[in-house]
Amino acid sequence: MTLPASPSGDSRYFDGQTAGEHAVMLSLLAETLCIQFVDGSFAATWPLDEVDVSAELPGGRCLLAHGAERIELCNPDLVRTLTAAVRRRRRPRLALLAAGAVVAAVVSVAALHFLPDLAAPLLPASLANGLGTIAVDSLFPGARACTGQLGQQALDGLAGRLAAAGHLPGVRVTVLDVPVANAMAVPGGRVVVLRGLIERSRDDAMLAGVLAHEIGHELHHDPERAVLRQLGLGVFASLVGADLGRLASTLVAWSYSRAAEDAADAAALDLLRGAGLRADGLSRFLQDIARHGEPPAWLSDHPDTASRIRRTATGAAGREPLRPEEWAAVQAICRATTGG
Amino acid sequence: MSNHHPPSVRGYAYDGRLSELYAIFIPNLLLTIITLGIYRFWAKTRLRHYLWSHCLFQGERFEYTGTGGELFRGFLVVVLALVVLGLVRGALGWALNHVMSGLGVLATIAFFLTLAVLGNAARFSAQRYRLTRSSWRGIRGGMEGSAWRYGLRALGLQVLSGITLGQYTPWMLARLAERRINASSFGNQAFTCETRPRALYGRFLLALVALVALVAAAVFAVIAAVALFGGTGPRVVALSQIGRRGAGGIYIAITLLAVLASWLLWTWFRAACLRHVANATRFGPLIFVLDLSAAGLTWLRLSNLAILVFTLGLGSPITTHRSACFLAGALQVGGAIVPDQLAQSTTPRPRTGEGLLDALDGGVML
Repeated sequence: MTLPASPSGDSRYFDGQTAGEHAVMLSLLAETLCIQFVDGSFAATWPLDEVDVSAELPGGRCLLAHGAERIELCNPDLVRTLTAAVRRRRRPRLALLAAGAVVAAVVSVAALHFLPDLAAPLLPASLANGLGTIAVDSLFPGARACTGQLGQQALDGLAGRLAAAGHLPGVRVTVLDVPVANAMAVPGGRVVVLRGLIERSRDDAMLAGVLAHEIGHELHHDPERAVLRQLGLGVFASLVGADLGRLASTLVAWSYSRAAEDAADAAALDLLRGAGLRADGLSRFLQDIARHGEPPAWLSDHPDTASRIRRTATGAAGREPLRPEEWAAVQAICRATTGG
Repeated sequence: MSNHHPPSVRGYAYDGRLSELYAIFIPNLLLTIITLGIYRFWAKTRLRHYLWSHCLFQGERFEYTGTGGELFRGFLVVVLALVVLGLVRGALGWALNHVMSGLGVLATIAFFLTLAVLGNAARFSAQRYRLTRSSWRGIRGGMEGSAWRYGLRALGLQVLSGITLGQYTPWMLARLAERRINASSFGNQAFTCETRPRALYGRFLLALVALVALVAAAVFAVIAAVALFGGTGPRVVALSQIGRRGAGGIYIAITLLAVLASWLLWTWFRAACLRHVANATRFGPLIFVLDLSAAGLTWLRLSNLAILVFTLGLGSPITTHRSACFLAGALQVGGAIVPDQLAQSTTPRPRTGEGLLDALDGGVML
């Protein structure tokens, strides 16, 4: 192919060895760009599919690249012909890139949405335990664990009976010396109860109701799902590079969906009844909270309290969850020292 | 040989246009949104292509040869590394806590130390990435040495700065800049830099004293005001009524004043630092003079910040353009390169994604 006529020496060639420049003449032979010095000797030959348009420069000029070699085209006709020839070969790559980006976006959104649900039940116990520890450490940094022995035994016994009713291998209960009325299930079959929740509970059935609700979350792997989702959102947030994403990840982190809450409520009633215990505590606890206004953090995560109260309302049939002396020990769990 | 570039063109120049920057910025922004952020590596690359090709030295344009794919792969490696680091921290902390309660905090300390080394090393490797992707007349830049070692050294000097209550800061900044510059080269020609940090210490100390004096004066003014106006009975009551809220406001005002003053004084010190490092740098026959005043630098930073805030980030091409113009106006280069004598670089050219540190550029730096 003949290239537009141009005065010899109109293009500048850099050989990639030194920064020195050479005036050259160009011609196109089949799919190869031939570069000749002004005296007619060959400087280089470039197969077109190895050539990139490296930069379009002011004044209608452009820079072609082949490895470290460069040619600056100064003639507008030459620029048009050669960039078109090079781009013809490069276009599929661009399209591939765009398609790849779209696929990557779709896959990552899908992964963000579905992967936690799929992976949560499959998480190995050791990893779940580790994640639980990290979650507790980061949610309540430096919080003291309450170690009243009798109270701990009573809670372990209650949690054990509830877990057995749901065929769970076991649930660990940790009471933290934090005045907030809150409890939460964390990964690794662990329920964290804050001192404020025990103080808010007017009797042991209320505490048992909340405990059963959290064990219901454990039963459905909700905490593992939440942590995985948070992990995914964290990655996503850093990808977007926006604080908005980070904000969203913390907002979403520990709030479960309405469906997950209802499922945990239903599971709580099943667990309590399965263990032969009175199951009216959860509903009464919710009522208490609703009546006293000022919803604590535990409730702000939980949508539509009125409907939950209705759904969980049930009779007081069944045994008391704890013996009076056990309930007293639980209430004193943060006051007692180790072995007390 | 070339009649396009009169030999009178010397030194460094920038000839980008704001309208062209916007023509790149707007599609970049839209594509980044559509692809949920994934496009930003390619967006960054497009912007750099433009900026590099509008920076000239001796009338000849620079060229950026990096690709978005390199940055993206680097980013993936970093994400993976951070996830692994986080998991190791969790597992190690858990195991150590089992050995002895409370021992797990060691894992956290180790984690953050590693992050600090990594962050410093990233700065080094980002400079390496950009140098190896910068080309001028077909010759590229390079950087020798280990980014890890630089990261460790930087952390050590930062700790030394902390131990000396900041007094070592001028030495730390100068030594690290020296280290980065001396590791750098373009073609077969190395950059050299020999600073005299002691020359910076006077200004640093002055800035520090001014800051302490300013804050002390503000605190004293508040105490004096309370003592003057709060002396008699009824007024004491009135003051105690506004008590808590008023005290909070005063505390916030003093903190803001301290932040603003330290930022201004820091910029004043940084301007001197930049001038000093530039003057101490050589590139073969070239010498560099950075003709920037503290006031100029302060104004640039403050006004750029205001532009970004008030345009909600849409003014970022304006700030980019202004910074590029500012640098071109301030940087004067003495001497000239003879192109035929500048040979190709033989330094290793990292492929992003090969090593963690080369990769960090994607995640951390612009």
